[in-house]
Amino acid sequence: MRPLAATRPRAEEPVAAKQAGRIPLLEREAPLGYLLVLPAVLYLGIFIAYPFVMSVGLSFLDAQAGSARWNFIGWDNYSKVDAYQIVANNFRIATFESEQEARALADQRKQGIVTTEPSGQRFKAVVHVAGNDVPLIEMDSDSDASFNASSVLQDLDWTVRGRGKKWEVIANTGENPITLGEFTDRSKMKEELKHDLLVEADTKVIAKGTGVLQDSNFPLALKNTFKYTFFTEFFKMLIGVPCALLLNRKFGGRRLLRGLLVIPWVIPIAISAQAWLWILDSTYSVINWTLTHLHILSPGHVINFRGDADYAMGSVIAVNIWRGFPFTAIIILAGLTAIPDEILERARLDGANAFQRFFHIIAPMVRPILMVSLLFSVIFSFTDFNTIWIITKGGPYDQTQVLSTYAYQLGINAGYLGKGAAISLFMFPIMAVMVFAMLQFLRRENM
Amino acid sequence: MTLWRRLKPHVASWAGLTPFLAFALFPFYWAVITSFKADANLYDLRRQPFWFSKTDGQSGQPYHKDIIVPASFRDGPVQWRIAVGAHTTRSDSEQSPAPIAIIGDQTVYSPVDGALARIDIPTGQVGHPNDVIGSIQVVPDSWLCDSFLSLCTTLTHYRFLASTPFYGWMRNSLVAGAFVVLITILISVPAAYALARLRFRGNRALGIGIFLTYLIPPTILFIPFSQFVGSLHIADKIWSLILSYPTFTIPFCTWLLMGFFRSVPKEIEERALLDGATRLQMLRLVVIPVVLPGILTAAIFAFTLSFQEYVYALTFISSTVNRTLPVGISVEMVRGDVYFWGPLMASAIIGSIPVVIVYALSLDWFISGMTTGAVK
Repeated sequence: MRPLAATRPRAEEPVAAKQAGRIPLLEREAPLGYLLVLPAVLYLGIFIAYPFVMSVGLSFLDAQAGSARWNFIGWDNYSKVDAYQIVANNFRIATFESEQEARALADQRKQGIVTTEPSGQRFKAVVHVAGNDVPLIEMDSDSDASFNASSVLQDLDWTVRGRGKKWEVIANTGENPITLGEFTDRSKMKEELKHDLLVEADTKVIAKGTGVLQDSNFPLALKNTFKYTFFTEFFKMLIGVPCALLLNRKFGGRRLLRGLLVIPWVIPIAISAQAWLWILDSTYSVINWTLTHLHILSPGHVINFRGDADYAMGSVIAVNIWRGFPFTAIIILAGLTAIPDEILERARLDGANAFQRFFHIIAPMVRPILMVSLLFSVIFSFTDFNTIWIITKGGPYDQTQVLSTYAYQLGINAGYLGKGAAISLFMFPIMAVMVFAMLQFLRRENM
Repeated sequence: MTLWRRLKPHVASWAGLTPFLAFALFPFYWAVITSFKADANLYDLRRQPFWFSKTDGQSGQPYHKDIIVPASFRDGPVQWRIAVGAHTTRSDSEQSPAPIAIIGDQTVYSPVDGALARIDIPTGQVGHPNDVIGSIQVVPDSWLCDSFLSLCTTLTHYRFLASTPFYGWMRNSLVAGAFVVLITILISVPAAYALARLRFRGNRALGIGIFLTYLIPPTILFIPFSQFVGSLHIADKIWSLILSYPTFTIPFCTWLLMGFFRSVPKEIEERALLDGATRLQMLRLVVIPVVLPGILTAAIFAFTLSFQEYVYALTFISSTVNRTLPVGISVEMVRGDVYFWGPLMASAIIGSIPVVIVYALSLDWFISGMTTGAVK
């Protein structure tokens, strides 16, 4: 096949080419093309592909900042179980025919005592309350059995619950279930458990270990990442759509207004978030000041936006919405301006009201462009670090930790490079699935 | 009547957009007003915080702070080395504050910045060490008071920035941004042209590949990248940022520029080739001048993206003086739990200026770049 460049009709061939009897390398499309793309490919290969491969490598090493030798440890950074723990909650102490009897038992638990007795090779703990003897637990050691039974009796909250015609006394532990034992072999556990507990209870198996999956902060960070992404994107749309519809009308100063609206998106978030830190300050928050003076809050009960776990997540989401909604609005606006006025005018003449025009004409026409921007937006929210790190640093008590901040905390601050890399890499397959889903959608939309 | 009918759509649009505008701009208003407030006013919860106030919310007196001087301070005759009205700087945010007075051998520092208004110490009095022998009244700096709408504003927070490495951080950010723009343009322009216009095997796949690298964010790569930077011996140097930022500016700008190159009419290229230009000459002399607005847009984006970057700058740079502006402000303007709100807001305002200038000069390009970047 002849090079494409040569097929083009020409008045006169370049002199150099005529002399050489062929077209010079740089005059042919393919070699020139490869040459021009090469620097970009090399650069991205060195500075993206290589660190990415390195990241995968690090996640299989016990890499720690400052340690001289890093060993291959396989999947241990991802998951390494040292032991399984059985935890139990909601012990069904006793069942009665009447509510009165049940209440009497629950009320008198403070006077109850625990005794243990040998049962074959093991020991059985019995709780004696209000004339009832309840065999509770059976364990290998006398003291363990007695300790656990005493906790059930003394530390737990005993409540009475109706169930069918019967009344149950249930011992509830609240947030810290009682640990019944640790096992290294998961398969034996079920059997073991049957022998252990002599009353019914809700049991759960918890894997304890040093891997990321055994770290209780990891599922929290994962959940927060999704929460953060979902609510940010949802509210950005909710604010961005009406904003874009208003901006699409013709009015004086439209260009200026559009310019002003985009400012949150232009200013580096690390800088503008400082203003938010001050707005969300625990003592001098202007929001608290306003709410107090409107008598919505009393001065002693102001909101601690960053220090209170209930508000911290909402605060970081709000800051991210603030930063991102102008972008959403501008993208939707670009889609809106592409809709020819005649179509909307014709619809208006045909008697379509504003809602019908929005849902049947505007929304379908804006959808493709919106989905692409949503793809970007979701990925950037999902991997966002700056907003959360500056506003809460993942706190209070890791309650606003997302994958990226947790990776930083563990990988850079604590120096566990391998584990940090493993957490970062958890983002990758999730992102890949999202990108794939979006691309499939776009293909179906024929873009 | 007719005037109102003509104005109505404009007024309605503005009214509808006001809430959005208020939400978008309130933090900036807040930063500006905070940066000009004297501390005494800033931390006065009794005064409404939306505007400046000259008097104390509790006493109604002009803002002042009494420094109580206990008798234990005095060992000999009380001596003053600072005249009434002398300017003082506060001790909490200044690294080495000037003492406002020396009593006996002991120095007294002012907790607020401002001027000494009144000295009220009876001399020659001897009392129990716990007794108060006098008070020093300091009023907040009134440098701008009565000169600008007679507001009690101050420039101390801005002056304070000079005693921090703030302008060094600004220079680091600008230098890094300039180099990143240079590298990005040098690499992206040829790549974008080749991908948009030249036919070769794998063209489409390469284009999509470069686009996908843009979707790999710094938060996935920063841990291995910090090791990589260490092995190149550029950790804690601005070169680590200059080399790492193009990883996201090159894909973005290449993608952006491909759109601009596609919009160049094929005929002008063909004519140049017919006139005997080599392909590289044609690119340099014909195509690039046509897409110059596109290249400028790409440069603006490369600058903005690198100016905004945070994770790499936080991870790679460890010494205070080498930090970039966003990291410097957020890390170094806070000491322990103490936030210096005035200087923080002042630095946020000054730190935004470069991007705001770039943005204001290129508003339309910027917004069209935002949309084409996401849409093409």
